[in-house]
Amino acid sequence: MYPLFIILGVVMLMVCGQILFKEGVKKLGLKEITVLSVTRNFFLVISRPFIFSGFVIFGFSFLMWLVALSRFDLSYAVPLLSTSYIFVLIFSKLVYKEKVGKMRWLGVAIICAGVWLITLS
Amino acid sequence: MAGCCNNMRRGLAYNTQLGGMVGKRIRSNILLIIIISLVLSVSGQLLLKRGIITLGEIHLDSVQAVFLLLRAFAIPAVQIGILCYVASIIFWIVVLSRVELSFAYPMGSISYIIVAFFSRIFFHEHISPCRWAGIFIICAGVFLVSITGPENNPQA
Repeated sequence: MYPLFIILGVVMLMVCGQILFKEGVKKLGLKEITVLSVTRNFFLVISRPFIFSGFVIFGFSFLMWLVALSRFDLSYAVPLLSTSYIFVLIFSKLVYKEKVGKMRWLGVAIICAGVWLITLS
Repeated sequence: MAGCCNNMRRGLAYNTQLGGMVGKRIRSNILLIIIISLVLSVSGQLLLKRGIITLGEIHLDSVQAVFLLLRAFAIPAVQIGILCYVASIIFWIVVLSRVELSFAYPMGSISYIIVAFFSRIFFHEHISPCRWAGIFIICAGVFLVSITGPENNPQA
């Protein structure tokens, strides 16, 4: 189980980073967010506390990913990143109180089954 | 990693409300961008792996881990891997801003299969039938999660 914790750590940090990005982008209050508008105002965007901390957390998750890669098969580690879908769904349900349909829960259950199979191998 | 970063861009795509506004004609062009993004992301992962294994196993329980991780960034394969990865993200953002998520997401999860295929060739990883099954089942799950789309209105 221990190897899985490292990858779960990567995924958790990543999801946290993404949520911070989402919050940061919301707070920007831009009407339209395009690749162009973000790159034009890159420094303005990156200096926002939420987005900046999102980047820092992303950096940590990348370092952790390097640790994972140094120890596990690529064909083991990469598919396990899909656990992010599970966390994001739980998070959207609990924090953002989004409605999550049955089919999506089923999809996540299937992802769990796949993850379980991979951890067996 | 590509799979994970999808979720962030999903937020962006919802905000811009671009998903689902584009016709079929552009899809054939977007397919090329998807392929470029996939190739970059897969090569990025393979290069990172190729680079990091030269350092040996990194264990988090010693201070040495910090130095090893710093040294990792000096490895050319890791540097090129990071560049590939960043480039793949940029292409992926373009993809997500132009096509429906239900089309883009399963495409992204295909990278798991490609990565497994090349890890077998380059790193001689033994991929048991069980692992293959897991990979394909995950793809099916991602397909189901994305095809059903958001249940509520994107703007909060």
